[in-house]
Amino acid sequence: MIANEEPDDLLRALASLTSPAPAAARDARIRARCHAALTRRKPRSWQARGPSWRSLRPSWRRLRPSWPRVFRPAPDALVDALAAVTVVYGIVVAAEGLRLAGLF
Amino acid sequence: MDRESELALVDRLRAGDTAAFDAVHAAFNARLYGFLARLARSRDVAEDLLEDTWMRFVTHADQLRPDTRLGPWLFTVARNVHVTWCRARAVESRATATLDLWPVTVPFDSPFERTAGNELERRIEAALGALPVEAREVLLLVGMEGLTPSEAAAVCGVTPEAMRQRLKRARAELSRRLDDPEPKVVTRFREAES
Repeated sequence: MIANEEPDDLLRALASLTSPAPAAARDARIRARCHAALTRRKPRSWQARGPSWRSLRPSWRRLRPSWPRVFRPAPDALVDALAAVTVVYGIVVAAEGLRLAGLF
Repeated sequence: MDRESELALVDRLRAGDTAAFDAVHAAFNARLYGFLARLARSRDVAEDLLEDTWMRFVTHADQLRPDTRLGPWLFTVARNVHVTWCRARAVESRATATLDLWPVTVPFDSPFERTAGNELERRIEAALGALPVEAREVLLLVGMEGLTPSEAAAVCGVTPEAMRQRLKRARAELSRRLDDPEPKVVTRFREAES
């Protein structure tokens, strides 16, 4: 009797159960959908090429500009320069705001 | 699948390699389907949930960490997909009852119970199908899929110690139900604990 055996034997009995495969037609459709999704989301060249943004922590990746599909991918140097300008501009605006508020 | 080839597959999947996806699909599809079918007690539902699982996998393939363990990752997604389905079904059942429409019935026999190869398999399938979902998923992950209790804990979102307790209770419950000639199906989460 399974119930009177050791628990490990019980788990082994579970492992011996047979599992049938899903319907082949459905399976093929799922695979086709997954292939399409994978092909759609292959990394664009500037994402795959440049280590600069990918090496940053995930929280900083949100700063990375997202380019609409109609545009050509921008070179990494341009992306980095734009990001740097944006950050510096933000700091200047924040400092000016503090100055106007009389806090700085 | 050894760890080296698993890491190589993860790397290729992150780059959107469809051949890598095929390899992962071939390795895990039947296991995921068996897991989902026994959790949901329905082959049709399991196929829907399996599709959701694979779609989530490819949608997030580029966000996989380089050291991802594919098995626990996939079973976590499959379990979450099943939990979402259970919640949706609960809402649907309540809405149906409120509107005084037809009742939602749960099949007593699991799909495997009817086709089990021998008496012992049939009894195990019956006992397994009669367990509450929380106990069933633990036994399926550790007993059938060979995940370690720590990996199963990560899949279920609990601590390893809690998983060991769950596994102990689930083993005891399965043993008890194997002796029960007419096991009663428990369908809702946490129903057995109340």
